[in-house]
Amino acid sequence: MAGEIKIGTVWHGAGDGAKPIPATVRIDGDNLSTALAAPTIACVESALDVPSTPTETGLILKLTSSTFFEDGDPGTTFIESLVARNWLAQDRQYDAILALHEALANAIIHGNLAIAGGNAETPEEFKLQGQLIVDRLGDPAFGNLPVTLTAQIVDNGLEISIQDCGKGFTPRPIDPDAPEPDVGILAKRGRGIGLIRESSDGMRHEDNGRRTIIFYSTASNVQ
Amino acid sequence: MQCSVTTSDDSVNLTFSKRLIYSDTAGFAPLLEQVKKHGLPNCAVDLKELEHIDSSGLRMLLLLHDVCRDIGAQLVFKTTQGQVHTMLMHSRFDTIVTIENH
Repeated sequence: MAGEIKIGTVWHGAGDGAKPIPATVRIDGDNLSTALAAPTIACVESALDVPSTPTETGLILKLTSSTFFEDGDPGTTFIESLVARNWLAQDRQYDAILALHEALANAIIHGNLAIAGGNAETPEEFKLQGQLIVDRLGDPAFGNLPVTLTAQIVDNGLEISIQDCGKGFTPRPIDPDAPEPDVGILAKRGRGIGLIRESSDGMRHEDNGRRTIIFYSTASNVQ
Repeated sequence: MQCSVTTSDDSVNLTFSKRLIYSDTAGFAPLLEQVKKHGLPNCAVDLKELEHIDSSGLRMLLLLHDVCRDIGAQLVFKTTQGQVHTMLMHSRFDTIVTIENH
């Protein structure tokens, strides 16, 4: 619920030496930025399972779907933390925020909340979809499902993955050399994947569509 | 999403700030209803303080365009250079809506 104090655990260090700080860290609103600052390697909302094997060259943020929808925009805060660590170049910040928002929308709305994407073409349908989102966010069976963001430094750049708990889907093949199909000016849907591609240096799906991985090359990063 | 709504004799004015993204889906529907209810001949949308928009936000603006078309209102977006203006131009919104860029 908006305004609720959110508590999480942050981990410092890596591997077997990683130790959780007592779970008194606020992760709501502006406090999330502090929680994600170095040397944190993982920040997990209370009551969620801790991801395995956090490493010093990565950063994990795991929150419930309902928390991602509250004020404060955790996705933007996550990207800002990567820029602050010099893992992502400043001039790619807005690209990465856009790509992450697109992936988060798919992960939460279509993945965890299991809401189909093709039925909100009119204001009336849009209103119904909005109410369905509110209803499902308030239902623990949907709203408490986590989304895990992981940033990992790789040999030639930075990968940002977005993992949901939905039923997944069969992604259409992505030809990195082919332009994204024109969806048309008035299209109410179908822009997301194209925007991720255009605002990143690569993307792919794994885990039957439940994990989207967005890539930024070393050439556009500050190491 | 943060949005203020004001009206004048012939215009409903929406002023957005912060972000217009996927998490604003539920909050945007009442704005569409307000614009439709007022039924004024002009709808001015100030996006100059809006910092970020994604494809869900674009869809919301398209739905606003549909509502204005249905009630016969002239829709104008007011922007400044930045991510929002770039997204609108990239999506060719300037071919369906008047965009005043200052």
